Amino acid sequence: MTSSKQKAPTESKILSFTARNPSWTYLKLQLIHQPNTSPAVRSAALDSLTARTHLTSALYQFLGLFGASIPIDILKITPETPQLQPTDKIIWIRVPRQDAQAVVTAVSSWIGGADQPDSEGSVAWRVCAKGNFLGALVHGNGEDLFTS
Amino acid sequence: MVRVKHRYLLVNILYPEPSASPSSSSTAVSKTHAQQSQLRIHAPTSDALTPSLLARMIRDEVAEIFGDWGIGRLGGVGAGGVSVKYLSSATSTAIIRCPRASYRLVWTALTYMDRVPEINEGGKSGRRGGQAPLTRPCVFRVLRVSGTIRKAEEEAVRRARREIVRLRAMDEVGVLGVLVGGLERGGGGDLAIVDNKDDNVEMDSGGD
Repeated sequence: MTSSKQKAPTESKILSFTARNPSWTYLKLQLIHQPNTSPAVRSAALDSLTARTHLTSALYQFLGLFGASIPIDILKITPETPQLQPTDKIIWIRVPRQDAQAVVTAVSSWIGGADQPDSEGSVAWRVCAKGNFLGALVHGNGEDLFTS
Repeated sequence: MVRVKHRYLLVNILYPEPSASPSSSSTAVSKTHAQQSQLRIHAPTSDALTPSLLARMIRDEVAEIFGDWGIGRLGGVGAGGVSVKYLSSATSTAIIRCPRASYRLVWTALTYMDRVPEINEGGKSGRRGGQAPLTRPCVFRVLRVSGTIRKAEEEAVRRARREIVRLRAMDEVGVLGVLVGGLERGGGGDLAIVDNKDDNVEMDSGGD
């Protein structure tokens, strides 16, 4: 945190703060299915274990053990319950700022899920938003965060 | 013209675990304990460890630790960024060439590698049908990182010579059990060289 004072013509002082090097980077990811995936699969709920498996798989493929060791906090997952019709599957994650670039690269270049026995078609991650401050990130379309 | 820069890693394969070496009791009867352990650590490697197998082991290990990114840093899957330039199974020494930008990845992979093919089962049959099982515990030690293969070669020769001198010196002072411990800790080669120098000086002074 640094502060710089500026001389104002009036008596009041203007203080401006700049926050540099925040600890975390926040990412909003969307799990996208192949176009020909059945609607039943696309409207199913996204559970945290599946999300974690997909994330670790992406990181392991791109960066090996070093990638798999990047700590990822899953903040929120939607939808938590099966939906009536296909909906967007969104997760919000938090990673250390230094690892953010690696996570974005690994996650966005990954296609997986097709090699499992009970496969439901290929899936991929789409990076919807990335930012160092969660408040700024959710300001636009993420106001449902922590509210439902 | 831009030259593609490389690094040459001089690597020693050590066998610190007693079970890793085949039983050679008949030849080692007359040796002292220190000599036996010294020879055991620098035991020969199986012939099943070919240069191509070693290169593939390194690539697999890099892929395991660093993933696709690491393989890309080495120069891709087929490009063969890592190549084993020299592999002597008798002295368990190898010289590995890798891109200069990623020699640390190779070094890391070597650090994590701890298995080589067993010396008994490393026959021709294992090489044809598939790769011999990597069951013999070992340690890969990087002795020198060098920009030219010549320097790595010189270092290998120097180390080998020092190893011989050290074993010879152990042979001579084998009765003095106290000295052997000190020699085993690594001063052997240097001590022997210093002794030679002293001899020369004495001869010169005697001539005068």
